[in-house]
Amino acid sequence: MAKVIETRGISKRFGGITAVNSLDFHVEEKEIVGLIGPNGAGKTTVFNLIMGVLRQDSGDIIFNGTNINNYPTHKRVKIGIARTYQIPKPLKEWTIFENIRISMIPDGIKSIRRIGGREEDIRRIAKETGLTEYLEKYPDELPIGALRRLELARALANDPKLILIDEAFAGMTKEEIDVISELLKKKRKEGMSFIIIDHNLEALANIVDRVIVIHLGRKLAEGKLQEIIKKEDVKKAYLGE
Amino acid sequence: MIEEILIVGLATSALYLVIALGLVMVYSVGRVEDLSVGAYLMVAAYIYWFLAEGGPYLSLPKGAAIIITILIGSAISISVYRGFIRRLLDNPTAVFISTLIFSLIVENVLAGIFGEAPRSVHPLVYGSVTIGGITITLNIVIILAIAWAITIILITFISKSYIGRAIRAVSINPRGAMLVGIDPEKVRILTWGLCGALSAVAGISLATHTSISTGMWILPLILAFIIVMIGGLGSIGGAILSAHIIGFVGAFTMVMIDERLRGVFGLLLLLVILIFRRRGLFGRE
Amino acid sequence: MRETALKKIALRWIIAFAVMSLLPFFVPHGWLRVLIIANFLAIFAMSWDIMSGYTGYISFGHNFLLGISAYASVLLIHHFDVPLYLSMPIGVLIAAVGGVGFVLPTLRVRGPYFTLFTLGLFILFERIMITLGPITGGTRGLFGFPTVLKGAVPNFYLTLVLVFAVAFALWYLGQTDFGRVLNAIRLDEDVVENSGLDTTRFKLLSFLMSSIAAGIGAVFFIHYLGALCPRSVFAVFLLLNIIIASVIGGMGTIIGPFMGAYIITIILEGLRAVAPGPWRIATYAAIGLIIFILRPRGIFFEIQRLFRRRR
Repeated sequence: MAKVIETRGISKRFGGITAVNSLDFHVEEKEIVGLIGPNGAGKTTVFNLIMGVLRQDSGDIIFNGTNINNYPTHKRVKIGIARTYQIPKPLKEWTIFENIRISMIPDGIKSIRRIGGREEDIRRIAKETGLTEYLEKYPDELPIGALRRLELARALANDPKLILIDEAFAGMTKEEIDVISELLKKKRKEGMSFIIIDHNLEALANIVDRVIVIHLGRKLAEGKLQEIIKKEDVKKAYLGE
Repeated sequence: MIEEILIVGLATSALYLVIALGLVMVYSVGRVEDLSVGAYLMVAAYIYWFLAEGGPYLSLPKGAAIIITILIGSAISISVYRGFIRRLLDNPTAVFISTLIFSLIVENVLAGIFGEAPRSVHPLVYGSVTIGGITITLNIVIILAIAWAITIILITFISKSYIGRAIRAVSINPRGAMLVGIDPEKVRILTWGLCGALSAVAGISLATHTSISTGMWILPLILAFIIVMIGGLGSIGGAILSAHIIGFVGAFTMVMIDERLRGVFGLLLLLVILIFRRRGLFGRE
Repeated sequence: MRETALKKIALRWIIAFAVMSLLPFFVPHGWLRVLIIANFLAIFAMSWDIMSGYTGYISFGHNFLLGISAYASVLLIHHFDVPLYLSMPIGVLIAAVGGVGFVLPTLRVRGPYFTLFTLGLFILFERIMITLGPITGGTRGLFGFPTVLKGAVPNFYLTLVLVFAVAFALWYLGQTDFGRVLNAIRLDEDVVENSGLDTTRFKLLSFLMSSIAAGIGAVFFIHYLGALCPRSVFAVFLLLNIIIASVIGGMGTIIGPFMGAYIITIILEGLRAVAPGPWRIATYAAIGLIIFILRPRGIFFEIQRLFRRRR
């Protein structure tokens, strides 16, 4: 199996705090990996480093065999990494349709001549994420679960190979969780990989192949979720026991 | 030459530092930039001049004129905050634009009342002292002393007093401050009032040092902002350092090159610093 | 559906242009001169809007762009006898190159840093122009250089064609996906970057277009006046006119700033009889401030809403 993404000893410090501490991990093709750990463990920072929103102080990030350390965010998105935000960030003055379409707009000067995105593609993504009924609505008219699905829709519209999902299921009903889980499994079959941050271990257990537990920026454990949560040090970090 | 640069540099640095401190505080509690500080400063300068030297009807003692001016300065800045900045707090861009327009209104109202010609103002104190062979006016020494006294009092006030702690709490987390019983709105009103008072002190000092004119708001505003930006928004230590960088660069330009180029090198410095550190010297990521 | 919408919009533009081109038959020549200035102001405001109104990167340095192109053209004529038809395009080019060159490092800088930086740039350049007296004429400036056309009526038509050309071009840009992305940058720059779009490139392009439009306006403006001094391009009052026209008309709409330029011209002229000197400007600025605070999205937005409700 080929590695989609691999980090080699990445570290990030903020002032005196080490948010990520020489972290090594990888995700394989068609794999769904859960990234878990207590609040403040550095999970979102890991996502920001992979996206290039923050630059690591040391270490390398390799995507599909290419070192992407010096790639700006938009370039990382273009080569196939997408992410969702922990707190949904819709464009408030745009309809849901347009919010999905933004990921399909051509870059730079080309955007003057060509209208980005085909309606059928946008409708397909909306259908997959259960947003069809909202397409002509504005973000402030949507419930939180739908906004989370919009995040996912926008990520999918980038046509990525890897999606980083920050809080996949928070605020979602049982039905919504099932729909999203099925969607992720389907996308995996089509060749996508995922890294998912979530606190809902029960929901994660259904879809992840593997989990990585981080605590205080370090990797604490890695493996099958069912086995991992039995480990003493993981329990201790996670539950604060 | 060098002595002159030293004195002028120290005095202007201290003066701009006072304005910059007001800006730093306003930014830290409101997360907006109030471009009216130049207008507060100018109004104060005119009011002081009017109270102390306003012809046969009004010639209050200087001390009384100063106190009244500072109070009016605070009143104006608080009214600007309550009048429209408060409505626009979630939109820093709108605060920018509205406070700039406000400055233009003030400039023209003053021009309408007092005319557009610059007016000279008597120094706070007459006379001069000779230190180590150089003669300097007492006025500039007094300004320097006042500016530093205010800076030290302000820093102590912020770190030690209850109100100072409230200001810091609001600047770090307004919602958290509310949970422990601090009303962020009251803190903001207070901070704006303080900013107006600081600008008023700077305005009076500037007036007695040189003269007053309806265009006098722009340069102090820009220089104070350069100081805040080089220092990094919200950093008092950074502001002190950058005030001296800007003050001395300005004094050097004034004495050695051309008086009209006073702000130019400060601006160039800002450009260079922003290219390399986009949040200033001490700003955080 | 789309075809008819396009026709409808084209028709509106043609009607607007036709109505305005009839003005010289109805208004006295003195008024035409006021409208000429309004047209220039509209160009300046719209060129500001395509950058600042759309992306939310508020520039207080628009005078810098106006200044470098105006000075470039005039200095070329004054010192090197360059003909007008060459000096004007060079002036526009200078605005584009100089504008982008200076702003390039600041495009990474967000929010207040950007705005204050541009304000500084404009003041800096004004001071340099004043200090370089022997070359630029200092505070008194330079005069006696050629104008493009003479007479109120020809100049009115020249500026009318110019303002409509600039308005249509910028308005069209705003309707494309390019304009959508600029708008998205104002709403949330991180989201745009996260959608695989190079926000720096978009900002740069919008600034380039802003510079070119501003440069065109400035060179025609200065060769209409026939005299150039720091106050004619670097006045804070001009900057405020540009910004007030844009904000009361409606930022990020192009049409709004166009209308705004006419509205403030009418206000300023109307106040001439009522409030003398500085009081006129103070009253006008106060009106602008009140409209902005009460209706921050601008008059064009309110008109659109009115029409939508009626339907």
